Amino acid sequence: MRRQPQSSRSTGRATPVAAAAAGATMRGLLRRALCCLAALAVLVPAVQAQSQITNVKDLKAAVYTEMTFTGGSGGGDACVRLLNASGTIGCATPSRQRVEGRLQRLDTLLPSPDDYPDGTTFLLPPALLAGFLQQCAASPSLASRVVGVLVEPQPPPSYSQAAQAPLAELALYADRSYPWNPTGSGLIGMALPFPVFLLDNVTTANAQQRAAYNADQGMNSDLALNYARMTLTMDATGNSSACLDAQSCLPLGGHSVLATLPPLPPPANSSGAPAGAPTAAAAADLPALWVLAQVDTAGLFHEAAVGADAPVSGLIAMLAAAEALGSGNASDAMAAAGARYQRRLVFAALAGEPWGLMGSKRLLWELSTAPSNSSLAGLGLTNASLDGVLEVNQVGRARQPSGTVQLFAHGPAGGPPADFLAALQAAAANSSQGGGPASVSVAAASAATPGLPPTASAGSFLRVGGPSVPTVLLSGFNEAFQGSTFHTQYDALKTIYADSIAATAVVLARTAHALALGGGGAAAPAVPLPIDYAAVRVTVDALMQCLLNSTVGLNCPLAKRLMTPTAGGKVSHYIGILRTLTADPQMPEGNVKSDVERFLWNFLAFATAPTPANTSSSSGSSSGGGAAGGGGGDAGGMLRCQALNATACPAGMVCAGSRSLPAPEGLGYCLNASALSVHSITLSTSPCPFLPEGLGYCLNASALFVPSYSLALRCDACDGAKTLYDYRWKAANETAAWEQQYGWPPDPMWMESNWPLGTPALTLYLKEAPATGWALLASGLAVTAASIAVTLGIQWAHRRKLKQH
Amino acid sequence: MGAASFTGLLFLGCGPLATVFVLCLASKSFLVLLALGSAFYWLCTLLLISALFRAWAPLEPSPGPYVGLLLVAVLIQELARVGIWRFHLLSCRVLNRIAQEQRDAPLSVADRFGLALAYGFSHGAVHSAFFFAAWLPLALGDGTIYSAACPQLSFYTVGALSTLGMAALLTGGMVLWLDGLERRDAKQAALAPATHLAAALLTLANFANDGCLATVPLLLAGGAAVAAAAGRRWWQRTTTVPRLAAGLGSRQSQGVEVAPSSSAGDPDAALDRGR
Repeated sequence: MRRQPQSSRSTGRATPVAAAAAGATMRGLLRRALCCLAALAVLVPAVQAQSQITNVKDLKAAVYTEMTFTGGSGGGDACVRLLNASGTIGCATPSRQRVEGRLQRLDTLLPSPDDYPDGTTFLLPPALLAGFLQQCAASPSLASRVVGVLVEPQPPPSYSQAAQAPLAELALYADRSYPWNPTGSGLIGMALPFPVFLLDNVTTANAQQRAAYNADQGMNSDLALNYARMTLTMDATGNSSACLDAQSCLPLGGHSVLATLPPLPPPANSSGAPAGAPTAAAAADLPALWVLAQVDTAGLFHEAAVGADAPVSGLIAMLAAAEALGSGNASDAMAAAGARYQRRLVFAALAGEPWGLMGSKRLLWELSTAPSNSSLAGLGLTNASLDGVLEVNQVGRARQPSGTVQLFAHGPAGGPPADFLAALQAAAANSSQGGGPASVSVAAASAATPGLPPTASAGSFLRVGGPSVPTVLLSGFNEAFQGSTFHTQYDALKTIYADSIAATAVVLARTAHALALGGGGAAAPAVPLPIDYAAVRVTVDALMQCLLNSTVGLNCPLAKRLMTPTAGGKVSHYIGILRTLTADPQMPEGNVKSDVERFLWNFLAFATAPTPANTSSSSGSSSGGGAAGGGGGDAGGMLRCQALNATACPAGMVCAGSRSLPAPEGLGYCLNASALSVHSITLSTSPCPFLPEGLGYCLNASALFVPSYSLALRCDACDGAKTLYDYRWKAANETAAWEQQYGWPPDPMWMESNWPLGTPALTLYLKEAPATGWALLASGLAVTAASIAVTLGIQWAHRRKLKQH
Repeated sequence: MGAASFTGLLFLGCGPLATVFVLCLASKSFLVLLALGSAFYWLCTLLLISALFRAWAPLEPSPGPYVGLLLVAVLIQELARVGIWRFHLLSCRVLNRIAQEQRDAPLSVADRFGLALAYGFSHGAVHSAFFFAAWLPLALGDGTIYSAACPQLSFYTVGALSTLGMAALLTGGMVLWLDGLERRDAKQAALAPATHLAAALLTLANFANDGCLATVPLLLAGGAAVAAAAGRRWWQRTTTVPRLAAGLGSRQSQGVEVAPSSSAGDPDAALDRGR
């Protein structure tokens, strides 16, 4: 949806228009030279520019500062319009026309709305944004007079953009106003009738210079002043139902990713199951212990919000825990002791949770419906087997100044279930084993808290599963969220600690292992989980680089080994729009599944797939689930496959690690019979024995995509018959009874407005006073008229002189 | 800026040049063709200079490197002007030969001034296209730009006024150059390169704070002075001798203005010497 302007420039010290260019060809030479007016610098004056001007394009960039909308940490972004069942939130221009206003920086808020001038674009430090927008919300006349708002990126303010009680309507306790986010300002929920842009660093410096110039001119409209021109046309109006009818919006949505350990058995009626694979009868009755993490964050500026602590720190901890549990060391220890899991671990990376717990709600609906109608059809998961929920979130800042990693276990009203808490505390007590940190502590959340935070996905499971389902949220906060970065662009990589996440991952893995073995409480598990903390830390570092470092993104080595990103490696933790679904929900099509979703899917597939060495001894209920069968493969006899071929692998197996482009030299898989894990991928630096030609591997893993979008919507004809850009969303009410049964509040039906090409756009420029243009026109006409008069006069005099001769 | 500013700048920078073309050259097809051909020649010259300095672009924004740039650029243009002189001699000889074969009068002094004006106009026009018209469409937009060293005048205004001065200077300079060489008046002939170089170096003052307040008026004054000097020379050379009326009709049929010639200075002899 996002369109990006081409360049971003700023003004700075005075430099001359500089010498120019010539191309290799005559055509290029002519074009360049005509454009490169500065070739000789014979008559051109000095102009103001940060970089020297060598052609007309540079001159244009010096005149017009255009911001590039890159999102991510430090990038520029726009507040855009979202719609729900009750109305709109976000920002838009009042009409479809672009708007422009004089640039004025506010150093402090004015006491009265009437004190603000008309026709002005305000440049604000972040600390003033909340107060200014609240003044606008309180004074419609001020809101109508504000042309736009430009927000500087730094310094971080002392408030959060979310509400003080986010998602309060989903709370499972009485006191819904409990301030989990005490610094919340509620900016995310505001509907603003003017554009609001988050500036990048370069544009900020430029805008500040321009605003200072305007201040020097006394904002005198008779003089040249700097203006901000903004385009933020939003097509959708009203509410989500109205825009759905008008087809002027698309639903927020994406895909959650699940993986199980041990893998699910193949459907009972399938053929070609791999040798050694468990049967459905042998494994389908295992109860499930869900390990949850959220994928997406929110913010006033969607693309700029990284969500490093909330929720990506929890996601990384869950992924690292899954890898530790699925590693060869763990399965070896299990096999040696002849132990088997009594609970199936289901790792779930849930998409869209900031938007009404969209991902977990849709997942539970899918689990609750008949298998034939579900994306989980035939895979044996039903909510009847729900046997516990462990969620992890906001653990990136759990490390205290003393070095202790302090975690808190939140549970339903009355506190977390005792056996889960005891298992967590026992795991924390053993944290130093395997080279882990010396001091990790898990405590029950304060009794002052009313229960699970409504932002927790575990709440959805608790709502549907009932109070008998043991449910815990493991987090780094106690009574309230830490700091003021929740759902802001300031929740960035540099604000979290890798060792905090790694320590949490180890605690989570040990706890899940103990609970899955059938134990629980403070008793040590029958088979201790062997954990190499250094390896966990390497994985956490690699995941932080891939998921949180906006410079690297999914161009990170780990992601390059697992998949091919389609968006240039850019990582976004805003769920974005969902244009369509695939007929087979498991097809990893890059234009339907996002890069992050496909990365998570591949990671979890490798993390939870048993190593080939353990295949023969594994059973359906053990930690291993069987290896790839069949011949014709390599790397330990594994089958190679193409991910977009639905029948690439035998039933019960998935095709993971497939890339549309070969991995860079030296970055291919180094698979062999004894090493098949994400860990081996992460650590692999030596040349591979075979070429990484891009094919994937058939893994005996259960990695699943589950669509995440509003239950009030239905995707019509999402069978591939229409093109990607055909509109196919309809309102639906099939889930009404189910929602009513479990007391869900009305579905918010979140949608994002469409916008035309060239939106959003922000241009800063210096504009002459209107009189200047007319003065120039008069001067030009006068000079030309004078030259005509002089020439005609001389010619007349000349002819007369000749006549005299 | 907008349409009013764009139109104003266009008239300011190119209005007088357009006036010269419309009132002095457009009615004579031969001069129009000559101006077009000459413009191509000057275009190639400026492209050559651009290509030459491509290797060093962008230069350090200080007067030092720009002095070298300006000296070389002016030198190349002045060498190109010598080429114009050679072509002028050749064209005059050919035209005289044709006139002789058709029993017409040879080129008059006014004819030669017309040719010189066409050469000068093309130099000024190409210069304006290169340094002014190339970016003028930007003025159609709303934005403008001021140099920190010249907060009084916008870049667009400085560009238009400087183009006006340089176009007048180059056009008039060519007339003086060719007339000076024809009459073996070295002082007059040297005026063209000297004023060109002076004007070019004068723009270095734009580096100084408020430098544009000096360079723009001086460029305008210089251009006006050179144009006035060329006009004065034309007036003197075409009005101080008896008018030659012979061959008026046939000369007009060739598209070359028939105007009084002068015996002073003996331009035909100069043409011969030029061979």
